[in-house]
Formats: sequence, C-alpha cells, structure tokens
Amino acid sequence: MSTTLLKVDLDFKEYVPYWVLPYYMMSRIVKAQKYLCVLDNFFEIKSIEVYRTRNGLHLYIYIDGDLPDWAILCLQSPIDDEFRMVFNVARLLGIHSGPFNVLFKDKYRIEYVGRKKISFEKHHEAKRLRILEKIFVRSLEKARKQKEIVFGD
Amino acid sequence: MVKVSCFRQFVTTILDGILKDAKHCLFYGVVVGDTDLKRQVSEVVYAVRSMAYADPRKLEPLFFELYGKISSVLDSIEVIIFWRDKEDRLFITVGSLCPLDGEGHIETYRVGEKV
Repeated sequence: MSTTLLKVDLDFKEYVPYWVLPYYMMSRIVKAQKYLCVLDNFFEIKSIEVYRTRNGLHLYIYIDGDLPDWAILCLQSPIDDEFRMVFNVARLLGIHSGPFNVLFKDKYRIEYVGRKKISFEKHHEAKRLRILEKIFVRSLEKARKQKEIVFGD
Repeated sequence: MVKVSCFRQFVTTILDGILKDAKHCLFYGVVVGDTDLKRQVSEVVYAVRSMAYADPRKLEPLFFELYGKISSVLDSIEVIIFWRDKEDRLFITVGSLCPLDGEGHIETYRVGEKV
C-alpha cells in the first residue's frame, strides 16, 4: 500500500516571551501527541520523524494510503503553523506560486551582498530527536488499545 | 453532489445516508467567516475539531457544537469526514452549509475517484 507524507511545522520561539516558553512548548508537543493518536486511530501511522529547527520542530508523519493534496492539508491543519497553512491553501488554489507543502532544510535571507543563513533544520541523523519520536510512538501504542479518541479545544 | 436546504437535512443526509455503512470515521468541522481572509483563518484554527469514532451516529453532537459556534449570519459550516466502509475502502465526504439561506451541498469522493 502507498504511503502519504504529512509535514508539520511546530514553531515555539517567535510567539511567546521566554519565561513561558517551556510551558508553551510542552503544550504544543502534548497537543501534537494527542492529535497523532487520533490520526493513528483512522490512518495507521507508519513512522514519525522529528527534527529540531531553530524555532521549534519539524514532524514528518508517514501514514497509510494515497491521499490528494487537499486531504493532506486538512489532516495537517489542527497542529500545523497558521502561516504555513495559509500559504499552502493559496498554493493549492493557484493564488500563490511555489511548491505545495514544503518544509525548509535551510532558510536564507537575501541581503545587499549575497545571502545569510537565518535558520536551518538539524537534519543530520545524529541531531534527530529520537527521544521525542519514542515518546510519540509509545503514546500511539497506548492509544491503539482505545476505541474512541477525542481531540479538540 | 447532494444539495440540502436546511441544517437538519444536512446532518441527516450525512449521518443516515452517506455514513450509513461506514465503520470508522475521522471528522473535521470548521466554522468559516465569509469576507475577511484574516478572520477566516483565525476562525478555522479556533473551531477545528477532529475526532475518530467507531460509530458515525456519535458524530451528531459535533454538528450541533459547530452550529453553536456560528457568530454571524454570513458564517458557513464546512465539514470533511474521512471514512471507511465495511470493505475497508477509504472515502472522503465534504459538506458545506450556509445557515443564512440554509443552502448546502455534500460531495463524496472515493480516494482516487469521485462517487
């Protein structure tokens, strides 16, 4: 069976002051964890990859099935970054040019002379957050025993 | 495409008609504002609901919960339901309803083709 890749961007640092950052980070991660359990209840999650970025995390979620782009967008929307969602909708509708559903590996800012790297995904195998992946997978295994899972505000 | 003329019909058509044979559902419901893009996006993020249930009949309260989130006559309710039938085939049902005139439509896709 074919696999679909969901890409989720979890940004922490830009939105909150530093003294509430740990709480904010944990709440976002727990929300993502809950949502993954719901998703796994319907589409079997094959694997999850978590990478650290300058502002947060990138999640790569491999699920069963071959889904259209708009369905991918829908599945990503509850936990994805709002700005990214807006751009993806615009790209899907053809309003904005550019590839659909990308996560950067390196981000550059164009300057007067050349360009400067402003953010990057720590995508080396050694920098992968395997502990977080294990936490996600363990919660999925627990959730598979439940028949009903609820996710919401 | 199925057209509906009121909220009750919208709910009944989806739950008693389309999802009658579903054995597993994943529900997304959103209340969308109509004019301002900024308002639309914040509304989507605020109102998003996602649930996986074994029994489609249990989705009924979610429709009413969405209905309760409507703050303006220009808002509309959008739902996307991923579901599997008894043979484990995947379908996606997309529904839209504008409470102002009660007009709505529902479309169902089998992944890869339109039903």
